[in-house]
Amino acid sequence: MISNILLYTMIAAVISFALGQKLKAVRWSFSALFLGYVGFQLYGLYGQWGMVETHNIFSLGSINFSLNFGITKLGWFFAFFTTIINIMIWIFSIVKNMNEKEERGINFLWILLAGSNLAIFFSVDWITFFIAWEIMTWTSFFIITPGWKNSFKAANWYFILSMFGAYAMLVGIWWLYATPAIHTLNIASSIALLAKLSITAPGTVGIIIALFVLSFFAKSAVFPFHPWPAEAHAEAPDDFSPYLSGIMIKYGLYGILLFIVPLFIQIMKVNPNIAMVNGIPVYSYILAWFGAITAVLGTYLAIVSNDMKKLAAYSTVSNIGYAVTSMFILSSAGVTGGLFHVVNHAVFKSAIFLSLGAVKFRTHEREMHKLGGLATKMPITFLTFLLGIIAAAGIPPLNGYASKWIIYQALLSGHFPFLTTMIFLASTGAFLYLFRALHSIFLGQLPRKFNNVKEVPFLMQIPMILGILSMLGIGYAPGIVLKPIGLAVKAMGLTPMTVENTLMVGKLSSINTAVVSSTFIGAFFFAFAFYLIGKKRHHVEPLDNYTAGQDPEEFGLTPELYHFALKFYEPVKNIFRPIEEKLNIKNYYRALVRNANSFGATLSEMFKLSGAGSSMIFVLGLVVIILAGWML
Amino acid sequence: MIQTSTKDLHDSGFEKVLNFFRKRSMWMLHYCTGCGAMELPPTMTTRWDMERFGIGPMATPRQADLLLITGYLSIKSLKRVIRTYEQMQDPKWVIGFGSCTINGGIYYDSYTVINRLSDYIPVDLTIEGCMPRPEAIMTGFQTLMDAIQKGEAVGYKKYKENYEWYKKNQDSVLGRTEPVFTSSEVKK
Amino acid sequence: MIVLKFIGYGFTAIIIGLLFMGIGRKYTARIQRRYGPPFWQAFIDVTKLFSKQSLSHNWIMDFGILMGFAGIVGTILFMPIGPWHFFSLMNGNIVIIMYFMTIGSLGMAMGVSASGNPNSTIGISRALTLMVGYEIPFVIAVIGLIFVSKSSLLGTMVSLQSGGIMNWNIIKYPFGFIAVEMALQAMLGEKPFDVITAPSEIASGPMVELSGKMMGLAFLQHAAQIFLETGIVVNLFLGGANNIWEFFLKQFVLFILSLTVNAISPRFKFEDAVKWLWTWPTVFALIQLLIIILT
Repeated sequence: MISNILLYTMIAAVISFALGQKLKAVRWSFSALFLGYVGFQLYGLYGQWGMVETHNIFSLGSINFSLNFGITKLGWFFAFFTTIINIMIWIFSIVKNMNEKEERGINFLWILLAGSNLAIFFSVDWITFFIAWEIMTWTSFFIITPGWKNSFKAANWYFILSMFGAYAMLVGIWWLYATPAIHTLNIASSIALLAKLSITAPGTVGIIIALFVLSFFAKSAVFPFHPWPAEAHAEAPDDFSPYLSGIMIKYGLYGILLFIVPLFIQIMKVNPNIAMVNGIPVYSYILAWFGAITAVLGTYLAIVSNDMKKLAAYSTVSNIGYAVTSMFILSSAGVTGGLFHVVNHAVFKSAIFLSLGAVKFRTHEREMHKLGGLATKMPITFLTFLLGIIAAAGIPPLNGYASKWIIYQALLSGHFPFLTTMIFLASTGAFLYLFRALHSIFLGQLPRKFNNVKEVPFLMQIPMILGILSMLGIGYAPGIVLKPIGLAVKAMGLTPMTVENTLMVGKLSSINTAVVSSTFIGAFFFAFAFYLIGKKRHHVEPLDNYTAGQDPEEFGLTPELYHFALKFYEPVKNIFRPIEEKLNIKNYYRALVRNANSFGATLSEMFKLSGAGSSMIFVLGLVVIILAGWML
Repeated sequence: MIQTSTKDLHDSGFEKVLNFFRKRSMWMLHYCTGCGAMELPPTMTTRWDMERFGIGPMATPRQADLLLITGYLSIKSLKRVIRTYEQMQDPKWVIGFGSCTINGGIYYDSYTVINRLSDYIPVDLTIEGCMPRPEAIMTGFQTLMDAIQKGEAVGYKKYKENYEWYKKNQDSVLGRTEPVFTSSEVKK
Repeated sequence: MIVLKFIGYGFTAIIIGLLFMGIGRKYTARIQRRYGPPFWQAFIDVTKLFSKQSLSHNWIMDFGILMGFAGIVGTILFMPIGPWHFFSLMNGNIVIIMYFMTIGSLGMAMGVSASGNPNSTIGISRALTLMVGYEIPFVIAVIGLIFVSKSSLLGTMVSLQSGGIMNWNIIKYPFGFIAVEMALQAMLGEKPFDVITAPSEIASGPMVELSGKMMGLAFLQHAAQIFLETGIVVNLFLGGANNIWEFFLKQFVLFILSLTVNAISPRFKFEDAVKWLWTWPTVFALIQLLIIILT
């Protein structure tokens, strides 16, 4: 069944390739419809837990190379939600790509990517997982840079960090298999065996965990791998950014939930002599701190960036930070909160990126200070963005606050005061950049050149409206998503939180989301009653503004000049400047690149220079290989 | 010529009830290019304390009810005053402050200064003196409050009714603020 | 019935808030040796504002300002006011309160920046940055209280403090109170933290383009905000109250304390304000938190 779906995806990719560039609208509509079919099939798979399909590819001696697919609760959950979001994005892509000259092979690659997406979530052994992971990395690399100069540079960030992560994982898988006590590639049984091994050989287990964590962190852009999303999201095609941010960056978190978190929970159960902090293992606590640092750092970088897509990308980084922190609390509420935040973030961030894509579709501008006042011209886009940022800021009654509330429950009931403070700092900082984006793009003065900007076509509005509805819907009744999450959490060996459709019960307090939503609506009507008092307000022109009595025309004041958007948070920057100058991860990476370049140059020079140089390299290389073989 | 006099525009009915609140809470915008502004700080602070009548300074014309022209007004600043006045929301009042706003005061023969403020915007009250002392200002405020209560201070309606007349007067002097060289000529 | 209760809550907050504002003006005047306006001055101002003509630049401005007022009124429903409480399940859920409150800030921010005046946006950017400043000490102090009361409900915290003044958190956790009181000063936007509405510098900041009833709604929002923010601190540290009058009295004491500081302080530069909030109140809050964790 699963392999059929994957096979169909391959066929669909070939069809899309055959349709060629002339029939763009046809092939994008075709792919959206196809994915709708896949989503329907996935819905049918709900409940068939534990089903495994094995396909032997070839045998080498006693080892059978096979692709194994199975349905786990977590995997199904991820597969289903990502597919739905992907459908939304592809509806947007139809019109977006209609007049795009540089579209090239994006559609073909993207269908493959969607297939590898499903394969990642359904693979039950590490080899299958790794193959799917690699297909995902390669296809997404070529989607980010369909031959554009800037995007190639940006995609390099993504590609090199991803590759680093992938190799770390490969080494991890090898190590896993090479350790005699484990010697299995099955994910579920490797968790159980590793947990047992942690009593006798904590060092080996530690190294394996570290390798996998590196790989997952690199994919999910957790500190210190946070620079790549900003580069890649900003330069990627506008309709691919929602996918990058909504789905792709979550693979690392999926890996953590699939492997690391259950492993830690197992270790806690099995291993009595493990060092604990507040009831969780020390290394889990340290990893939670990595999440918190990511959250704060992402927030700060978002505050100081002027490019709207970079801002949203850094916001993604910081949201990943919340989820990582929450997951490593290892409590039921923590894992639930992290998983729920992943879903919520996928929903609201794709809505935000779609609206940014819509803005760019009409204005072709990415720098925020060149935009402004678009709200009246593009009301649906504005509403999508507004509700998106309300959700992102965790303000009720939208979906973001439900997951943030659970995260706070987890952190507070687990007694993590400093992690809570960090998360709260990041969350408050989120208002800064979110409002800045709202103001600079949609509010303020409308530049004259955008006087004729129109709302995007209806087909592009559909996914945005769907995004609005799902944000409101999940905010009103989080139980819809929390129930399947509860199943996945239960499968990890935790007692799931008590939830009903509109009720979430925590250790410190409980919350009825329907009541919260209706309170907001009631309060709005209350305010509206006041608004009706007195004379009706009248509208004036945007430039009929307080200008200290100056006539704008005569003063040479244009809307562009009267729009305060550049250097919006200069004071914040000033506060942090001393720290920022000392600690800039990007500079470390750049230095690494420089050193690698000079090393490579030295080698090649030696090679070119004379026979002696090249033979010296040969000897040195031989010595290194022999030494490595001997050591191992 | 002025078409409608203020007598026909008096407030009536429920407006008079609201006028009670309006007079007790006058937020003023002081246009302080003239020397009369010097007398405002004592009026605001401990000695005379205008806040006991609910009068206080405000930052922008949108929030203000009362425009205070504190002294002589050059033609260039008249232009700003008119824009500011038009940005204020009804009901709004103007107080001309000192002799300069009545007849030009000591600047009566200057080519850059207007003599009679009420030709350009509707002045509800003038306080004579050069400069008026805080006592005079307080008395002026009291008089205006009484006028508002009675519904007589309706300069803003008068401005609307006789907009052409005011506009003509304004344009006749504002023409003089045009630069002698236009910007294109300067560039040459 | 529930609608009437809702309206009752809203009006209580507005009336008490406006009364506080009026009395506060009188109080400040007396500190400055002035006679001061009558204590119902704030009511007069609001009535006048609603009787005036008003303008807006577009529908977003209307919507934003309504959302701002609605956000604060909605938050008040979650706060226990003495013996009154609106929801029994969420009787003062502090996480909801802190996030619901931001609807107010966000709404107001959106409304005023839709007017397109840079002064208002500068004011908002300052307000948001200051928010990051004061939320940190406030949150650290609140986390401590949540740990000791094992609940994030204000209602539970109040019931734990019942039975005499010695049970109040202000006595038990004085450093936390100091931190929150300092943060409250910034929350209320009183001096030395009034950079947001600096009238002579950025023309009253966010309120630049508000006129008539728009300004009136902003005024009501401010009144409700005073009620809300002092109310939260009363619930957290002053042991709530047995009847609403006691509650209002405690709120009033806090407000007067804040006004006294306001009347005798100059204004912080904006970066300095944030830095100050991240040093002094944060240090006090951390001391309190450490005491709570270690004991």
